[in-house]
Amino acid sequence: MSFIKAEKIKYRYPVMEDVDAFSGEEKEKDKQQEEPKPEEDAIKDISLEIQAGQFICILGMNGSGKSTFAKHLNALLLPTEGTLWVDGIDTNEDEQVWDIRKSVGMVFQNPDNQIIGSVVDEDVAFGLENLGIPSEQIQESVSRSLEEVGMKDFAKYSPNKLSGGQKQRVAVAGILAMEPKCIVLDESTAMLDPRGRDEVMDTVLRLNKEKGITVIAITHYMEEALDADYIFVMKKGELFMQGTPKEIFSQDEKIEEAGLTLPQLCQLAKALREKGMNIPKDVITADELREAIKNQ
Amino acid sequence: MFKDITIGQYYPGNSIIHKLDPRVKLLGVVVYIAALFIINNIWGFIFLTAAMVVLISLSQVPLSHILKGLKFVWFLVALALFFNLFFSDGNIIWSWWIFHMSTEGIFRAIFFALRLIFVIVGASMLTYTTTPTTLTNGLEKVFKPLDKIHFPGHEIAMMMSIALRFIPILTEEINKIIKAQLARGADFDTGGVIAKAKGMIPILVPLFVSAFRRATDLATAMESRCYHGGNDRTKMFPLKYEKRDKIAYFILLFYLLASIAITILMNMFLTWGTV
Repeated sequence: MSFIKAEKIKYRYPVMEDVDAFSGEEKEKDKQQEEPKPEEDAIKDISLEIQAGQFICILGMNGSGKSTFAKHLNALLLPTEGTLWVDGIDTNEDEQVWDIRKSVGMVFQNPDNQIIGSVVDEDVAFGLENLGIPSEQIQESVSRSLEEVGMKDFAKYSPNKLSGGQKQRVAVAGILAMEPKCIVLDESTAMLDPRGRDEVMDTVLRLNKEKGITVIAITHYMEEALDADYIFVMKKGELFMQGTPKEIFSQDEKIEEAGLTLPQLCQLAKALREKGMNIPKDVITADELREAIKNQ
Repeated sequence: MFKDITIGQYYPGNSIIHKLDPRVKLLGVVVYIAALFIINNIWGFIFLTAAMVVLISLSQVPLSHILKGLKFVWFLVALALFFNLFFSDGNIIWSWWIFHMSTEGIFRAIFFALRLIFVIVGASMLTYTTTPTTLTNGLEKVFKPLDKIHFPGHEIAMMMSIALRFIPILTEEINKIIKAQLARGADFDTGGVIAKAKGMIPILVPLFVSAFRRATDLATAMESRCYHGGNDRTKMFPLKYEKRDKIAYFILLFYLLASIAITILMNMFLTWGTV
């Protein structure tokens, strides 16, 4: 059975315009005068399945609804229509919301705005403290998780002293301590420098390989998507494309239609192809490209 | 701009005072301030000073660091000295125009200034020797019994620790905003007080907007890590009383009783020096 299954989910952000911000009462005058606006769904009719243990990338330009979709994965947002099952649990079921959040951890974009503790190890412990785990067990899990993300030496540091990449790894450790089945990276590398981005992605991919944790990376860095098992591309709230990296990046017109640019390597391959070289469309690694050039 | 405020900042150390349970230290500050207002003669102050000297030397916080923290208090002390010295009624020994000095006034001025300094020193000894996190943990525990009357102890402690966590981030943000506004031609240095205050608006508005945005992000992050208030929450390092904490409680009790005893006894024998 698939780990995540979405069936025709729709989400519409609640519109507050008709409501008086102070009294909470609806302004009747405005309502009569204004024509009801055609409301836009942030995500429309998305149906997909994600298997456990995979590394998934969700691509899309700004405003494509990819972050909104990500927030559905641990019940931070609930679908307006349709159903989403996470590990067999319907996210609409109120009682199980903590089970869902425990099994699907989320790393957000801004490293500063998601660290709660003023000491690294305290922050890692935050989730476990919320779950009411006994103290000795917390200490054990915290030091294990910090070791797994390579931040053990920084356990007693203030988060303010760490680089962006290190802060995101602390955030990953905080999730890891809760022994999740899935980690969602909601543009977690967008604010990092290239080195920080590598640090975070390497850590998460290692966890994916070694521990079988499902990783869902929401991103607009095409390079990150090359290693994915499967890619979903979103456009204006809809699921626009899906497939393996080879399938996705061989359709360069469609990628551009979604407002994205090809990874550099594919761009190079495309440029060479346009100059008349015979390079297959599904080249996505340096080795494959080298091989294709050699065979000319 | 905010860099040289030493008052209240944790001074890293490994002394016995640093290791004490924060609850002991919180009660200690309360007892200390109570004692400070009970005593009213020179012997009481000598006893208090002696206790303070012992405490400071035990804590291994250098005296220079403590004095530096008093930098902002001197003005207040001078003001209090001035008014008590020249405007106190009583046995007048000198007067000119509206100013007059009295023996009572002199004593009152000295005691008042000492009290002010001692309050600041005593309270900052708490924050010098306790990390903000331990302090908020302590406060949460101290407020725990008030849960029954719906006092939001956990929430207050959580807010304090988040505030402390974000102080350096927002300070950095202020500096960035100042630079950004300067680059757009903002002027913060000329004009009178009102012009300068008005100049703060282009700093404060973006700061608040960003603070609210951060708050939303943080709330989402906390929620996605299963935060649901203080109920059923455990701690990684729960506070536990050690032997030294129990001894400290006894010392505090002794100290309070001694202060009361000294005050009463000395007032019986000495009539001078009372306020």
